[in-house]
Amino acid sequence: MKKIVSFFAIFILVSQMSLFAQGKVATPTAQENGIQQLKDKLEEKVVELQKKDQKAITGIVSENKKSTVTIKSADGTVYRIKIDNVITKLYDVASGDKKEFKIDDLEKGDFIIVSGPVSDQVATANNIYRDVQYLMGSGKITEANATDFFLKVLTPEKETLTLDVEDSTKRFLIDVKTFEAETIGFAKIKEGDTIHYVVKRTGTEREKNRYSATKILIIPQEYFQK
Amino acid sequence: MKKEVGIAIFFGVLLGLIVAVVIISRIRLLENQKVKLPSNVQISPAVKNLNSQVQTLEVTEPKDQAVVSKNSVKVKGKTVKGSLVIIQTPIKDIVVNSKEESFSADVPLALGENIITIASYPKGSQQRSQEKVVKVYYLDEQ
Repeated sequence: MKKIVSFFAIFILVSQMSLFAQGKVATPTAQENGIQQLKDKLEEKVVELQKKDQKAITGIVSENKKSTVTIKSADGTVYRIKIDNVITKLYDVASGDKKEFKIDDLEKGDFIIVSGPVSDQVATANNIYRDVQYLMGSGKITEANATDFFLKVLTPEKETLTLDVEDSTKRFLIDVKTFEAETIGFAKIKEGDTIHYVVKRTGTEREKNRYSATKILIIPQEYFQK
Repeated sequence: MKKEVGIAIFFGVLLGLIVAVVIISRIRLLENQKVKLPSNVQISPAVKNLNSQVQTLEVTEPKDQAVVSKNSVKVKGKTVKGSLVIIQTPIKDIVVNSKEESFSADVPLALGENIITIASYPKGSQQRSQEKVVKVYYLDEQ
C-alpha cells in the first residue's frame, strides 16, 4: 500500500514538475510571439496612420531651385518643397495619363500637387503631380451676348465674370421636367438663368475675370418659378 | 462622576433627536409647499430647434482634402426634400432629383486634383440655394 501511495505521490510530483518546466520553456516563446504580434500591430497602425494623415498640398510654382521648389497655394500660403533626387518622383497628369518628368522641366506658373509629410510650411515631396488647375463656380447670367458668344455671370460673391463660350465648350441645359442634362446651342441660354461653370486657369488670361469656358451647365429660370 | 457623564450622554442624545425631528418636519413642510400642476398641463421647451425646420445642405462624404487611390468616390449628403442637386466636377456633371432628404452618387475622378461642387436648389423661390465644395485628390501612389 505504501508503495502505491509513494508511486502516485512521485507520479504527481514528476508530472507537476514537467508541467511547470513546460510552462517555463513555453513562456519565452509566448512572449516572443506576443512581442512579434505587438510589432506587427504597431507596423499596421503606423501604415494606417500614415494613410490617414496622407495629405496633399497644391499651389502655383513661383521658384524652382531643383533641390527646393517654392509654391503659393490658393489661400496665399507659401510652401517650400524639398526635392530628393532618389525619392521624389514627378508626374504630369494634365492629359489624364501619368507621365514622369524631370525637375528641370518644372516651370514657374505650373500648378502642382505635392504628396508627402508637411511641417511648418515645408514639405518633403514623395510625389509631385503637375496638373491643370480648374476654377469652378456658379452664378446668375446677367448678359448673354450672341454676337461675340460670351456670358456675363454675377457670382454669389457679387463678382462679375466673363465666360467666353467657344466651339469646344461643353454646353448643357437641365430639362426641368425630366432633370436630364441635354446639349444645347448658345441661343438657348437666357439672361436670368443660373449657370454652373468650369474653366481652366492657364495663367495667360488677357483680361481679369475673363475665362474661356470648358463646360457650362444651365438651370433655366423656369425651374425657380412656381 | 459616573452619574454626571450618564446624564450628559442622555441629554446629548435627546438634543440630537430633537434637532433631527425639527429638520425632518421642515423638509416635509417645504415639499408640500411645491406647486403641483394639473395633469392636463404640459411644459413645452422654451427654445425650439430651428435647424430642424430648415434642412441645410450637408455633405457627409467624401471628406474635404481627402487623398484617395481609387478613380471614383461616393458623394453622400442631405438637403431639402425635393431639391435639384447638382454634383459637378471638371469631368462629369450629375443631376439628382432628391426625392428624399438624403442623396448619393458615384462620381468618377481624374488623376490629380478633383474639385467637386455640390449645389442644392429647392423647388420654387422660397428657399435659397446652397453650395458646398470639396476637393479630393486621386493620387496613384505606386
